[in-house]
Amino acid sequence: MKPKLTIVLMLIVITPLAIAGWLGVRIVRDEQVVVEHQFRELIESRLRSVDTELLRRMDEYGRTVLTEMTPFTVDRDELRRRTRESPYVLQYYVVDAEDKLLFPPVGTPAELTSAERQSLLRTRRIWESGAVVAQSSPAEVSATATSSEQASDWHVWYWGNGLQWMLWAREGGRVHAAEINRTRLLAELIGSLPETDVDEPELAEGRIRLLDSAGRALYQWGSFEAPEGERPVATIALGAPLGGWSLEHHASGAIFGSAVAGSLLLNLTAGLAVLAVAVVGLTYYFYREQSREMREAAQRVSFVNQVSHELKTPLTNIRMYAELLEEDVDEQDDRSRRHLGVIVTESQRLSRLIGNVLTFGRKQRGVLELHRRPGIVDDVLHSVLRHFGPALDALGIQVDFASGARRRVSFDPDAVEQIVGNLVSNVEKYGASGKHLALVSRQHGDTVEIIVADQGPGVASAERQRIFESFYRVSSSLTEGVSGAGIGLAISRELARLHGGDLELESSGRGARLRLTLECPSPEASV
Amino acid sequence: MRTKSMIKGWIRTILLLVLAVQVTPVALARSVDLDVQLSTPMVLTGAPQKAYVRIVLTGLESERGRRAPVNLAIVLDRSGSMTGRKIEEAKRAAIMAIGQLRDDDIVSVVTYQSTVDVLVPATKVSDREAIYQAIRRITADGQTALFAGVSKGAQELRKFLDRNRVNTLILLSDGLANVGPSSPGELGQLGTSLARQGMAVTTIGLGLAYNEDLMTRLAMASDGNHFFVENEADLEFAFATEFGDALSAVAQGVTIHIHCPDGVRPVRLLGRKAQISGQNVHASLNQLFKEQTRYLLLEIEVSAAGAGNVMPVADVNVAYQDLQTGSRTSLRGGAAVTFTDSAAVVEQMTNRDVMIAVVSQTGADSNELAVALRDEGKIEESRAAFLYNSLYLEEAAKRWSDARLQLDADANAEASKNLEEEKWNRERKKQQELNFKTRSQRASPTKPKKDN
Repeated sequence: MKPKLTIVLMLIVITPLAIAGWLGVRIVRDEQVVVEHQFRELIESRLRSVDTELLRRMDEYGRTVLTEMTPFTVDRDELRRRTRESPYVLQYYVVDAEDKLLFPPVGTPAELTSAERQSLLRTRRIWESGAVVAQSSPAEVSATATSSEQASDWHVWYWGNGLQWMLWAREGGRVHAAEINRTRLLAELIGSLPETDVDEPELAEGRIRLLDSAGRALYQWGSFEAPEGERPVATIALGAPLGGWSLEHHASGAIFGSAVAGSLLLNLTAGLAVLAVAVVGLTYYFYREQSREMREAAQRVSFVNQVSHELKTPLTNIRMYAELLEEDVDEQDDRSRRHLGVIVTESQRLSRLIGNVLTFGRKQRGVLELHRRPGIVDDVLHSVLRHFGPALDALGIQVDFASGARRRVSFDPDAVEQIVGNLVSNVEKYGASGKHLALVSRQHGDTVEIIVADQGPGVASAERQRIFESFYRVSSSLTEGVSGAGIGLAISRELARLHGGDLELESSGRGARLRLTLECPSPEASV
Repeated sequence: MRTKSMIKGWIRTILLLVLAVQVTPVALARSVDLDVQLSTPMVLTGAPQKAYVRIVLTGLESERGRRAPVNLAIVLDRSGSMTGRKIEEAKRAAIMAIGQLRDDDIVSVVTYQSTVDVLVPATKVSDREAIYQAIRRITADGQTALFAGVSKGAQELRKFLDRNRVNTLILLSDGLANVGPSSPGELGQLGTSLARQGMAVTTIGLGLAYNEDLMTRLAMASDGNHFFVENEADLEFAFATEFGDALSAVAQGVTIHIHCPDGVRPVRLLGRKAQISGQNVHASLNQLFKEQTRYLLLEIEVSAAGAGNVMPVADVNVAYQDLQTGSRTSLRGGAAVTFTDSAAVVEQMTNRDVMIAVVSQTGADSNELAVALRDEGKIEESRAAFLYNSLYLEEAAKRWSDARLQLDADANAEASKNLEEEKWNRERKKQQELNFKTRSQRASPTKPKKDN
């Protein structure tokens, strides 16, 4: 009983806590996913704004170069001067309408400067592919176009250490191009990007990297030192003409943790703690209540036991003297005899009740045991019938006793008397309407079988098992006004089982039919 | 009689030559002096002849005694390798250097590691204590985003970019650039671009772990200075020298245009980049300091002509921003050769200064070759090249009795002894610095001799 109770109590405590904890973890995880998602969106929008800034800066660079390029000229000395002096451009080019290079003067190789030679080597593929004029520009500088910018465009190609840029513009069928100083452009782009300390607090613990087309970091900012090989939180590819480059954002895992842990995780932990205290408190309260009730019940039982014990001796005396008196009373004095009969019957009933209570008490204490001694079962049955004789007569119940257990066996006559007494008493109480009691005893080997049957209303099928439970009383109109403690059948079955047998309710056509079996070895074997 | 007339002829040609060479106009109160010299004012007849034109620019003492305001960006490496004494010395040197500035000078301080911080955005030096405080707070950590540091430093310089200020970026690094572009070529390209807007980058390599090629290329392309500082205790000297230079600049944005008449072919400019197209040569210098002499050395080929002929070979135009007057000033000069049949005369008339310069620059070329051989792992070939170069320089040093050439000869001989793995790293940095000084005609790096 005790370890079972401990397990139950632990389950009561642990189950709700486990469920609450699991739900909490689920909520935290869900929240984390949401926060991560929001964070990623924030980061991506931040990266996109960096992208926009880079493209704006690129545009500015293009405009500066375009200013250097205008007024458009094909004059060789002027183009050389511009190439020599430009901080932004490595080499200027002019292509005529037939896709022929006008400048640098490739027609006279001796005239080429060494820088022009090197530039031509880098850009050879562009000029060899031809069709520069065709693909150079989205539109010819039209009469309506007020700004020359509309006719300029970036041309991107790969050479050496990565992307290279050429800005070209159309003018009068010619294409003027400028090979961009890649490192200067990069320095300008870096100049427009933030430093280590970023103002935005949500990005302070992050690191943004600008990567070239080979995935090498060109520039980075933000105070978080990303471990080597760590995957970025978000990555975006830059738009043309910086296509191929990308921006990535690194952040420590703590950034999610701190966002969630700060509020939700703390709340959840506090909630769980409160729940745990409440559940433990309640369980402890119920345990206290339960053990108090048990203690009280035990006290009550022991009180009843003591009272019964105290009642037993005077009752025995009352019975004994009443029976003695009955023998002394004059045969004709019916009135006195009848009164004495009532006294005897009622005191017998009372001693059966006390016997049952005491047996029940012993059973509760675990000290119920049999006292086998040699004897004849039918003798006990006769004695019982004799005791009940007056009461049964008074109710007009006819008794048929088929005696068949006359062999001498070892058994507890008190226990058998108590069992059969209870059964007959039940017939008297519930089956009196049948006006008939059949008592049959048989002996097969060591087994003694006793059947008590009546012609009364019987037992409803729903209650066939429950009548053997302690304190259960069949509740129906028939039992109204009938006294009883509801322990008779339970005690009887217990005693029968102690006896190696059983007490069962047998199905019968009419009335109740109880079958008692007892293992009663012959006295020689048992000694 | 015959000898007498010959002597007369010589005297005549010499006078003519002196006249031809000395056509430099004499301007009053100018900051730069121009001199155009020829290696061989007299050349042999009969076949095309090789000659060298040396265009010498000298910064003159300021007459008003007031120096030009400066716009400086100090870009400091604070990567993990700078931890300890290095960063402390660098901070001390930077503070000391800023102490030399006037209130109307502009300074900015940028530090870089994995990322970049603009510690002091370009500002007037009036609030020194705030600048010092910012510098004192620097701590070392992380990687080396050198390119980004230079980019941000240049960005700060450009805020106050002014032709009448000395715009210089001082870059200190002790390690290999490992974030962003890091090849000498790329940094050189950036240096060229910055120089075209009047910004010079002076590079200071600290210790033995930096990339000397990258640092010298960047300095060379932007016409700044380069220092190899092996011991952090010498940082202060490097900073002091560089600041001293910046504070003594007299001219900026110097452009040199050389036009060769027909019959003269410009071949190449020794030790320096130039645009040579047809008969025209364009070159530039970023800054010229007080009492500093810098020159361009142009190799030309003179087509054959008869004896006695005088042929102009170079018409030189120099323009510069005069930091004293704040205006753009130009100078003009030229040179001519006279043809002779006598090899002895050619020999006798050979210009010592020009020849020393030619030997010096040729020696630098050979030195570069010897270093390249060592880079390829050809130790013995490299040793031979260094020794040969040393002999070449020594012989010239004796012939022209020049101490500087002897120093170069000694340095090359020294290099030939330090080609083994454990000594080479340090030696290479030394050689690259020497080579840089020769090509850019900067002051000798020896610490005690602080003179131009």
